[in-house]
Amino acid sequence: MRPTALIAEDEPILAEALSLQLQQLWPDLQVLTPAMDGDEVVERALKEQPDILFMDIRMPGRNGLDAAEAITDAWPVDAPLPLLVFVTAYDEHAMAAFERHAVDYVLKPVQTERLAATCQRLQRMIAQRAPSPNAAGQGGLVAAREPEQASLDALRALLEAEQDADTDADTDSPPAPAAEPTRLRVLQVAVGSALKFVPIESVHYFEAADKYVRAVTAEGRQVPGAELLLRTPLRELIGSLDPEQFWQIHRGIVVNIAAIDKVTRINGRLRVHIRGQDDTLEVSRMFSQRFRAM
Amino acid sequence: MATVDHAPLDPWSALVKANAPRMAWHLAIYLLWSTLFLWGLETASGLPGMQVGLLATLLACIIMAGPCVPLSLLGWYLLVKPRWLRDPSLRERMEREGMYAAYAWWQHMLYSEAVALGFTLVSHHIWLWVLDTFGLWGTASPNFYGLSNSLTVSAFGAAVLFLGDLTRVRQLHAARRAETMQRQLAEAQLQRLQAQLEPHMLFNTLANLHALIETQPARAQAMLAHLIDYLRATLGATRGGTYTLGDELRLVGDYLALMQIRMGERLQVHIDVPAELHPLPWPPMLLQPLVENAVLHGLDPLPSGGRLQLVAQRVAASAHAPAHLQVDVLDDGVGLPDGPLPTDSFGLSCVRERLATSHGNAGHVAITARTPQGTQARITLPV
Repeated sequence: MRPTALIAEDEPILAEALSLQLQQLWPDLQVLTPAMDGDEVVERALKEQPDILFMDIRMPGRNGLDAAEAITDAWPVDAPLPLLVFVTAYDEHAMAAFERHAVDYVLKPVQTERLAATCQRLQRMIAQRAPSPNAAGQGGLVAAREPEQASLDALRALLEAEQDADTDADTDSPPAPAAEPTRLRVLQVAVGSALKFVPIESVHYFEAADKYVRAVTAEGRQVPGAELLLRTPLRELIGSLDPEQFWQIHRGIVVNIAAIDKVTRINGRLRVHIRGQDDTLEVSRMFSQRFRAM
Repeated sequence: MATVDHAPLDPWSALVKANAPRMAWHLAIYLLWSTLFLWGLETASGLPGMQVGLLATLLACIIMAGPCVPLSLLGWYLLVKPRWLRDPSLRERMEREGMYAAYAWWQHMLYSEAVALGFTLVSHHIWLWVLDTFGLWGTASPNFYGLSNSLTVSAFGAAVLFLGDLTRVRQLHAARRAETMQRQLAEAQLQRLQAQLEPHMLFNTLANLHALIETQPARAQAMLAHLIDYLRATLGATRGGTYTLGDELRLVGDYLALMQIRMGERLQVHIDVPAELHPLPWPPMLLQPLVENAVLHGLDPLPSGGRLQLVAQRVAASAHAPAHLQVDVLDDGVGLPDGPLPTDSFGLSCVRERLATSHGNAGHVAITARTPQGTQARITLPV
């Protein structure tokens, strides 16, 4: 079967040019009609399941990194993840991050020699993974293939770098030196007219919801209306939590591992069961590598 | 336009101290002038027994005219202070145009004449008393120091000094304003240049050119021509001649043409500026940042893009406002962010500043939300 590629690029001339260049360099590649924004590429990628994604960083709708994450999370478990190549005109933070995490990227204007090298690398990777297309489900709970795991790690690192860059831009101050962050011991949450003190160990998990973060405790579950809502954004909260105690399992969920009863695979996806509760939490593909049997 | 006052208001410093050095010069010139004038009269009269001597004449002038200048400054201070404290726009105007912005020039002139003549009426008699008491009459006839002579000297002196100072103050502030405009324009140009050379914009434009050269060389040439015109117009905006609304529209047109090639059907442009408005003078690069904001922050974030409208019209005088030129930049994009408008990041403060320098209180820029969605930026200039 011919490999397929989907281009995400909002500028029509650039999308067409990249498509032409790819067809010339790699006649066997089937280049799909380009997606013109971040939301369209997520939808189209999930539907058409290309082998390769060429992803512009700055796009209308969501940006390339967020789109890549959304695609990764919703990707069918039994299919190999698409190979990601970022395409960018200029983006200091992203480019530095690409270099650091050895992510494939090309610069606009796209030079033919550079694109040819990228195509060769992509061809090699596709050839490598062809013999074992259905390795999932073997070797325990987590069955990410080695190269795939590397690219997941890279993508996660990119998203973190992007958040750091955003935070730096927001505060407009030089990045703080890597000082030991103060760990939160107690949450102070406004509930009605009272200020409730909640020991951090009693929190089962944090869940981002709109403009709030919901802290779920055993007690809070039993009393409807007594939700603990924090105004601190999740990404800021994560910095003040003990990373050994609180694991991020999804872009919007951080779980206290002491509250985890078990992790199961349901329909190919990892789900965390919280002690004493019926419902389960989905583990995003991006964060599944920590769940391995000892 | 709202003014933010960071320091507490200090009318004494602003109104008196700031004008005191110039007033001291006034005093010196006034004394010199009246002494020489009177002494010249005495000498020229040639009549024996008319001379009181130079020193005595100087004394006469100090007594008769000297306090006029500080008195008029003090009186002016007392008159202006309540208004100055109450009215921020008066403070702004005086900051820009100097002390004579408080009233019309002829009102200032009437005032200084009134002070000079009124004071002379009193001081004339004091001087006569001094002459009598200290026996300074010498050989002069008491008729020489007639009231009419004293009043003539005062009236002339006050008029000459006032008109001289008015001219100087106006020149000074005009020069300062021109300097400020020049500086702001240079800053704006630098900002523009940085915006164009902003790597993302530049490389994306070049990437489009790179792609078009092979597939559609004619379109590539057209795009390159727009890019060249755009860069040249930005760099040359200050060089000589009068800058007009038409010049600005050409600059904006080149920018929009570039963006239309890049964004394709996502950017629709509709320009409605009557041809007779093109020759009107226009502060360089006042419209460009607003258009850029509408495209980059309003329309580009939307996957479907949208429509940018540029509408200019001359609005006739009404009960609310004098006749003015009104230019609107309209988009139906994402609209304004929640909360206060981050003016600095959108280059708006720079636009406001330059508008205040070129047109004072008469020029406005207002950013408002449109219904059902989008943003309107409106520039209003007097015509």
